Amino acid sequence: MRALIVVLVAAVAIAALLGGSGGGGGYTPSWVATAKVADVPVYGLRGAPEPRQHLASPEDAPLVFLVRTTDGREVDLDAEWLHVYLPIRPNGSGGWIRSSDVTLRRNDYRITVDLDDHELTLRHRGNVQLTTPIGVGTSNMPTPGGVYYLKELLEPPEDDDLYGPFAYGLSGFSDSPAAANFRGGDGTLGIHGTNDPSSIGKDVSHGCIRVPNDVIRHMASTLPMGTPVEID
Amino acid sequence: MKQMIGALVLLAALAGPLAAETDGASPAQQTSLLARLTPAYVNAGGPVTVNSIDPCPQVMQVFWSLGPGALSGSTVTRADGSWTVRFNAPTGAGVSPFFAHCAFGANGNAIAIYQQIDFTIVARRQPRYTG
Repeated sequence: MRALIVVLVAAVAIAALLGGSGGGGGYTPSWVATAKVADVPVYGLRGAPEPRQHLASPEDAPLVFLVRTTDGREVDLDAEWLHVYLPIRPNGSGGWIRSSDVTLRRNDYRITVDLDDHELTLRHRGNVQLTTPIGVGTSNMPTPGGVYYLKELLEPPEDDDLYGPFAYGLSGFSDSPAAANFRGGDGTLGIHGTNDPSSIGKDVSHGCIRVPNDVIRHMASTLPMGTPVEID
Repeated sequence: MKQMIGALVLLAALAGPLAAETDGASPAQQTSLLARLTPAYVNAGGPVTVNSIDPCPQVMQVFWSLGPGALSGSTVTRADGSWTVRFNAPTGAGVSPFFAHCAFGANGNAIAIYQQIDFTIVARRQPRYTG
């Protein structure tokens, strides 16, 4: 028994020492809700009798949501209702969904984007896994700041594509009218590779974030849908 | 730093005797065994292979699924407890989990449980994002 107490004391001491080294201190995981139903009812208030809207899953991917938390608090996994970020305009929109309409999964990854420094950082459990230079939106079609999440992963059918080998769709949109219909789309922001490596590190895009192709390949093999993307 | 090294040495010294005490009890269920899934990103409907990294404790069956509580298939391990499972990915893009456990039958208790593996299924279509 005494040995066990000594072990526990030693373990606490080690944890304190490691925590003080700045490894992943203060880290809080995020939670991703994946739709179990084709159309997810979204409510304006927790417990509202009628949904405010329905969001449909794309044909080839389930709809995902990033669960919102307040002040770094843990998500109540047993709650009947979940407050989530929505992949709709305006950016940062939120709503309430029923827990029974989704499956919840913990996610230990987080992406932060520094627009001024043209830099993207990927963290796992609070520890930096990679930092990479990026291309971002031009001054008249800027990449909008905010909290978003990865909502889908596409592989362009053609080689040497503008988007590189893979492209993530984000939950946010460009605010610029000039980018609203780019390539026939709806202004959805993306993180993707590129067929023009010289554009990395510059203000070149319609709002998307361009990363080197080896980075997007790594991300595609690593990151779950719903990974938070904080752009500042 | 010296404190930390001292604590680590202390832990290492005590871990052996404590483990030995535990060994005397009835065999515990092994959890968090590891397996490797390839390729890292999978085309919707494409082939997937999972190989054990940690083998099952002995020759037995491996039951696997792509969702909690839903059995997708089973296979018998090799003589050393290692195993390989092949299947085609679901068609819906996104992240899919893979679960596996070792048991002596579909209704038997799980003798060992593998860590969940999440793999990403990509949709092959043209992006229309903001470039």
